[in-house]
Amino acid sequence: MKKLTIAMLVISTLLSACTKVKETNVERDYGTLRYVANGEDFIREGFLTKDRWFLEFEHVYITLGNISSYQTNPPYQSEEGDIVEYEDINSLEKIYTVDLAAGDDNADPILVDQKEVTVGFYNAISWELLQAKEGDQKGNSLILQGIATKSDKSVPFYIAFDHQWQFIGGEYIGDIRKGIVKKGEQGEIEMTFHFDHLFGDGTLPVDDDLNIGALGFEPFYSAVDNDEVYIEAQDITKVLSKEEMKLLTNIFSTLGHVGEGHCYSQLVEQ
Amino acid sequence: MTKKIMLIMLIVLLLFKINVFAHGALIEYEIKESYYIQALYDTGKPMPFAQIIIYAPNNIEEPYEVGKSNENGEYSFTIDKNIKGVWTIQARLVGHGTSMNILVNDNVMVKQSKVSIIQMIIMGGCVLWGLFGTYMYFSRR
Repeated sequence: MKKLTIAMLVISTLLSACTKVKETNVERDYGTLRYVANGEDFIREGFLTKDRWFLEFEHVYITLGNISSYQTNPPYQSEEGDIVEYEDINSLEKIYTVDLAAGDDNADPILVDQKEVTVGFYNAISWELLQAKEGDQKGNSLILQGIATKSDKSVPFYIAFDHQWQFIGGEYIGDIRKGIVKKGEQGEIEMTFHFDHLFGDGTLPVDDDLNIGALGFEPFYSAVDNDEVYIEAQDITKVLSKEEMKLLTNIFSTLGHVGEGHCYSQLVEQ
Repeated sequence: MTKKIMLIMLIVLLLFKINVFAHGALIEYEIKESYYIQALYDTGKPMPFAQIIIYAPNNIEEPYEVGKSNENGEYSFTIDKNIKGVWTIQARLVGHGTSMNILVNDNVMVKQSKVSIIQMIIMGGCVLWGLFGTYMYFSRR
């Protein structure tokens, strides 16, 4: 009996070793994925706020990190929250500060970085709005610089923010489909930022939901000194009321989009 | 004989297709699946005259269909069920956009086993041998 048991063990071990193992090292095709950031025409061309200030932007410095693109199946929807399952992921390792106002009115979305990735349809992206660790933007996640004009008033403005948020979006929603990478070719995936959520849109009715949820420019103008609006991130709480600060936090949570698609957002711990 | 001839002719008719030229009409049909959607803002309000873009799984770059919803955000479309995979429907209007996905398959669940047949036989054999050994152990006591 003992010999028989040993024989069974040996046979089963040998047969297991001889079982055909499915080849996992499949040769894959590669292309290039461009990661871009877009402040849209609001930033490139300027826009009218809900309280009738026309803002023209000279610089919009935004700091981004922990950027990842995903191939998800079934396709990720932002209502799901965190991305749990994906077929492929590609991540950028660095933290980047880019100027969304760079270029002229017809400028393309701003290239953050690009990477060689496996081919496929990258239909989800996650990124974080972070405080810059170095340079002129150190300590700030977003800096808005430009000129604000209303009636006979024209004031330069510099407003810095230090809010940190993570955004997770599904597929880009816009005129074309983005995120498709073919062998040897370039694809593009976009992180979009809707600044009309912050200042409102003067072309829409005052009671439009967008305008009701926006701060406008007037609260920041209240800090005008020597015909200039200059607000550092740590001074925002002195300029805005408690209610306005709550609204600002809510606005930042909705800043990130994928084209016109909404993102899931969550605070990034300081 | 006549009966035999008639029977042979009947068999020939059944076996071979014969074109009959006649003046008539016919109706052909195929089953398609129609969908009705309503595009809404987060607030629950309809998206009036929203642009609707539909992508089929066999061509993820070019739209299968582009249309516009009515003033209530409503839109109807038909999917070709022969094209299997994930269909994506996007709705967008002035800074707002959303999407949904429809999976078209054969409604046949095919569960792919991660274990080969040989492995299953070995595992089964080991379990049986273990049970047998346990029985023998306790029966001796």
